Amino acid sequence: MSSSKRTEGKGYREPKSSRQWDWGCPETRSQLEEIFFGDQDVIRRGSEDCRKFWAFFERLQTFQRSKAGLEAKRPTEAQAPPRPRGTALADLPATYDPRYRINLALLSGKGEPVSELRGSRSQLPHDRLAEFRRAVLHYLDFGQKQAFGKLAKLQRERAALPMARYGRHLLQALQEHQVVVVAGDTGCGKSTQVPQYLLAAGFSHVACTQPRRIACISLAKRVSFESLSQYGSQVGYQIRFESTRSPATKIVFLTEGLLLRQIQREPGLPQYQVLIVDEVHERHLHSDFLLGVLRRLLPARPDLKLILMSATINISLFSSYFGHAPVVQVPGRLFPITVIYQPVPKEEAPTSKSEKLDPRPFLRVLQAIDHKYPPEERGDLLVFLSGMAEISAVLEAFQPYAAHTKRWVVLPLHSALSITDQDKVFDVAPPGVRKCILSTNIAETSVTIDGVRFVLDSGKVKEMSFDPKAKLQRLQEFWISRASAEQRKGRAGRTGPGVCYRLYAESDYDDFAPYPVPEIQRVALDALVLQMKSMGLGDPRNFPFIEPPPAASLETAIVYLRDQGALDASENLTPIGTLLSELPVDVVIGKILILGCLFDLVEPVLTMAAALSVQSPFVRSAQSNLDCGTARKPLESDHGDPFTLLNAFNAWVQVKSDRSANSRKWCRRRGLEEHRMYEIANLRRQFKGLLQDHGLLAEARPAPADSYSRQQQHRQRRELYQLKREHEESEGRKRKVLRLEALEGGSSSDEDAEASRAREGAHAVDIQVGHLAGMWALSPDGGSSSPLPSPCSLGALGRQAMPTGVPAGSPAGVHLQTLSLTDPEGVTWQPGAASLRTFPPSPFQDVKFKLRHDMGQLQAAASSAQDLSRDQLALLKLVLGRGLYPQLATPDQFNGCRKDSDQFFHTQSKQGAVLHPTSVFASNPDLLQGGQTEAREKGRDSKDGLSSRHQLLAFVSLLETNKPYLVSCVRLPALQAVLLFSRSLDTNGDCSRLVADGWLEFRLESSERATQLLSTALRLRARWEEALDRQLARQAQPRSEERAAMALKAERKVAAALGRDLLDFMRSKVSYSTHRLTALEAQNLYVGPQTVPAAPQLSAVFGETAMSPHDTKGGYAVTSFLTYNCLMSDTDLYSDCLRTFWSCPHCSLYMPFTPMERMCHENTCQAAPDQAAPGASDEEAESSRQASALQRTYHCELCQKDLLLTPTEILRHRKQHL
Amino acid sequence: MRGQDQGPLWTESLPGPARAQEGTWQSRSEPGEDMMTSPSEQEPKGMFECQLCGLTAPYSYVGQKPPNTHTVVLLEECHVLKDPFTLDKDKFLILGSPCSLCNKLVCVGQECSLYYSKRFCLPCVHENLSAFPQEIQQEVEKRRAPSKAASKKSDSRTLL
Ligand SMILES: [Zn+2]
Ligand SMILES: [Zn+2]
Repeated sequence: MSSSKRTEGKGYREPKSSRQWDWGCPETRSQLEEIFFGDQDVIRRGSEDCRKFWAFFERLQTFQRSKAGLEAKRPTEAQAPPRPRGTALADLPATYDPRYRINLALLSGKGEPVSELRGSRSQLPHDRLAEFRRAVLHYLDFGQKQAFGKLAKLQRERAALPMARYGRHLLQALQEHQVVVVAGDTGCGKSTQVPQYLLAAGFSHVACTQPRRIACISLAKRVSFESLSQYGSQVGYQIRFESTRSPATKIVFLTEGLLLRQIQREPGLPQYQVLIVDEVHERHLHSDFLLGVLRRLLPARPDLKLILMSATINISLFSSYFGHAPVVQVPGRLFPITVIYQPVPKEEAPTSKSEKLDPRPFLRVLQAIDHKYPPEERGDLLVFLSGMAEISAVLEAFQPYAAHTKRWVVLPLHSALSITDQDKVFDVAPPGVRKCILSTNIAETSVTIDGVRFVLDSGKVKEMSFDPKAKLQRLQEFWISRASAEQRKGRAGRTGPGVCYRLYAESDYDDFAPYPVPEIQRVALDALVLQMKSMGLGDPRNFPFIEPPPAASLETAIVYLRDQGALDASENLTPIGTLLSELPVDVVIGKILILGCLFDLVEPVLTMAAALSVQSPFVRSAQSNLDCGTARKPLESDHGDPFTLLNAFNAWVQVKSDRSANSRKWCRRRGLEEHRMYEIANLRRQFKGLLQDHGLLAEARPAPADSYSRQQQHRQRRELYQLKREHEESEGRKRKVLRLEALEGGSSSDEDAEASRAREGAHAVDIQVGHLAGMWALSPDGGSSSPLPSPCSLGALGRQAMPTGVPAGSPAGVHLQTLSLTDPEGVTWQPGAASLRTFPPSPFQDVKFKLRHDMGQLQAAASSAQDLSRDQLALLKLVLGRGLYPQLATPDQFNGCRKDSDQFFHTQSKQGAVLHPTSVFASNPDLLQGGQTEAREKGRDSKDGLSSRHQLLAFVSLLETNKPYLVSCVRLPALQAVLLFSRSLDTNGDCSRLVADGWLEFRLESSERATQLLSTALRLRARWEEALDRQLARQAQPRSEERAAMALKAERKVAAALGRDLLDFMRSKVSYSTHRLTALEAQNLYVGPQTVPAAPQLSAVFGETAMSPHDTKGGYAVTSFLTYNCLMSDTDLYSDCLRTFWSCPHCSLYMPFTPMERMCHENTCQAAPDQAAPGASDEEAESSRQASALQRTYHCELCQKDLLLTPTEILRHRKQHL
Repeated sequence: MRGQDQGPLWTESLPGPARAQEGTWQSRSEPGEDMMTSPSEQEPKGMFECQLCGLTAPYSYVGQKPPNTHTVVLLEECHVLKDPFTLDKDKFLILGSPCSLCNKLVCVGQECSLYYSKRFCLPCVHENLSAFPQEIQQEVEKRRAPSKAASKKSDSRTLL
């Protein structure tokens, strides 16, 4: 109230005297806004538009003042033009006034009713109002001119695209052929234009696949934009988390993986008329596979048209694969590029793998440019290097030079950079200064930086290769292919004639391979084989791939899937395999999810699975930052890295749900990339949906909310939508001018960057840097900036959320984090694997996040995970361990005596692996030395190594760069893990010696404890298997609600009991030593097949499983995984001699047993359950049922009778005869 | 069979969150607002083509009162398109209008026409240059030089 009074008072005083008239007076402005910028008006109060108007208004004022001064000198009366004769010319105003140039009229502020409502109007003088009205009109007219300028420019550019002249040709070819190949290089416009030609030609069911998700979004936006919203909602995209598909959609951009999923669901793809597969030359796993699937599909769908779009690389391969399909070849639009070969002199070439790159050849090029080209001639330099280490070596050498000459701003570009730092490469260098971008192959195809005139090509690339034998990924440096070299060169000729310096000889170039190795030949094929199986494509070995993968890779994948239980012995999908194939996740992650559901650990398992499927949120550069390290400490879990990720995510959710907290700051302080957290949240939500869809998880019933909280929720969502809309209006990031000073001393801190951003933002209008989005810079030319960046540069802004250089791209592109971009080298392994961001970061991401997720639910999940009990944690470890098996590593036995940084680990196939530097165990190696330390403390011979605390590491992946790294590790009690997971367990006669999977040996102190553990493990494994089977059977069967609920309850109980027993087992104390077998030991491990089948009578003792002599190892196969007494031993004793008296704790049977017999007895002696748990009636019933099922006919030779007995009863019976 | 009228073509459910409509970027609908109603009013009525430079663009309205605007009127009969450069559905973009002398449909681009209380195509302005005030005459003279250079460009437009 009081404030409005003051306004009036001031209002009277100020505008009254026209001499003191002040347009800047806030009260005046407020009154004007009230009159002209109402809800019905074009410009609305408080809007972005309103702000822009005032900026315009000020400029207009200045302009008019200066003009007024000029005009004062001129004669006031303009000469009246001669009277025109024509009618239209007759009434032209004789005296010129700019207002006649405007074809708009404004109704605002006119008419009495309005003015009465807007009461304050009377206080403003009439002429001022008129003046203001004219200003508004000028502003609107200016807006029209700008928008039209944009439109004209857009149309001009479209018409000027090389593709424009081939549109008709393409449509013609498509009429006559089922498949057409369009070949043209980047910039020819095929990706944006071909879809539009199809729409214009009347096609309406078009799908266009892209290897990268971000390209789907940017292309959909671009195409929709270019067609001037003509097709509006008819252009959509569909990616993992988002879809803009609607019933009106006529063309959809989607990832190759998603289209494959659709084929999996509907093999005939009835929903499409035309398919466009873009970027086929990139030869991604999915793209190659998709081509194979489509080639099979085409004969069944003669009406389906297929367009392959490719760069001009190896076109004949694609054409001939599709029966010599016609090729529409579009010439590129590159400016001429001069190539200069400057091979690295011998003395500067690195001699070994570990030697640092010599930056001198690179520096010489920098100097040459400075020498040859005056600084006024713009043009930036793009340097292609193989990896992060190389980038930092060159960066180090360039920075002093740049600081000295003041002519360069040097910026690194690779996937391990923070998003803020990655974005800097799009900023503009100040006049007289060139940008120098040191990049991995990320800038070869996926990121396009405008203004590059010089390219410096090292000729090297680091690429992933897959060693099927060791199941190991290797990152190695290679010479690039000729195709890549040309791609790199081409980057110099996009905006004008360019220069490409090659640090190799022309003869080297001639020796390069013509094309890069396709992904299918470089990666693990597990997920591919699984998908092929589920699509019913038959034997993968016979699939007509465009270029087949190595046979060994296929075999490895098949064996792996068999080992994982996804395929049976005849290579058909098992129930779990079927389920895994439907989960668009890596096999290991899928297993972890399924196992987690069993034990009611869904929430934490969802988070872990999601966190392991995205790039690590921990920023690598923050690793060395002490403050970050300290802030991270509380998040670290000594159980292993997946637990640290779980903690980080949960803590983040808590911060997020606290309205007052700034999650962005929180992340920055801990060196966390917040965008990853959003990705994890999205993924875990998707996983949850998948589990629910497959009946592994009950749908959460929405909690009944009272009407008040519902209303409030609704309001909050409205507000969020509002924010989102506002964001969309101003979407896109402004390109800024790089500051020379800030970059001299290395990269500025985030706070600095943000501050400078804000400062630059303040005079963004003056600088007139190209703005993206609907921001109208007050530029005099009709708006040179398009509201959307070109698809290339937008693509560059985008994060490719799906790393492509990843083994066996799982169907919808979920991959293990570690397999993607956490490599210590920070390299993208695939041409096209960008990892830049999709969307501007917070605060908008926050809005989107809150729109998508129920914060309350997430927070509840997070806090429940924070209070995980010790038991739950231990079970989680077990779940992870079983999921990750056989990816196990054992610490080297001498680690205890080594420095922290020199800890070695051995896997079955790889010796001497080290921990990834981000691992919690890398900084706390003592966590893994429990066994060794204890053994030493006991003062025994360390060779003995007896302890009950030996640990094994389960890891998510093994990645070799300069060293083999174990990535994302969990520690597990060694013996127990092996007993529960191993696919092969071999024992000696008294079971005191065990060998797991032929490479890990355990020696137990007590043979009695050994047999006890072994038999417990046998029983637990059987129960676990059974529980899983039942869980899978449940999801496969339709069931009635009520019965399902009952069955579920029973299952829960069984699972809970199993969980308890598993935990007891994990905690069992037993003293043992562990040892990785040497090659020699492994060779002479088994006694081999024996001619005399000893102790045949034992077979009956084993209940269901008939124990038979093992044909290769010797001894007896007890179960599919356990072979008894097959180990060669120094003290080769007959098993019969080992009988000792023993009394069964369950049935009080007392008699001499061999360890084997004892185990068999224990295995079947379940009449009295281990713990007589009160109220465990279900279990009891279960076990008695099991007991009766175990009855079999036993022929007693002494009684000469056939008896129906359980194995225990058989033992008892035989005892009678003793 | 999947007929056009048998319901949405693109509605097979996707795994996970992709099913959720709220995640869409382009729809500007509030929760609960029917997404299907909006496109009709802004649907293109046809193609506008400048008879001088050949610029083509779809238009959604012809007249002096563009849809969704309340306080702005046009002083000539214009071909109007909803401004494709903003999401704001009230914003419109004037493409062009008929020359008040020769009645040719021309775009509002500087090389094709000017507005001085009425729309005039540049050829007509040149023909009647003396009828216009000096300011216009000077401006047209100034435009002449660059517009010759631009004529090459405008040829390529017709390819559209
Ligand atoms: Zn025109
Ligand atoms: Zn005319």
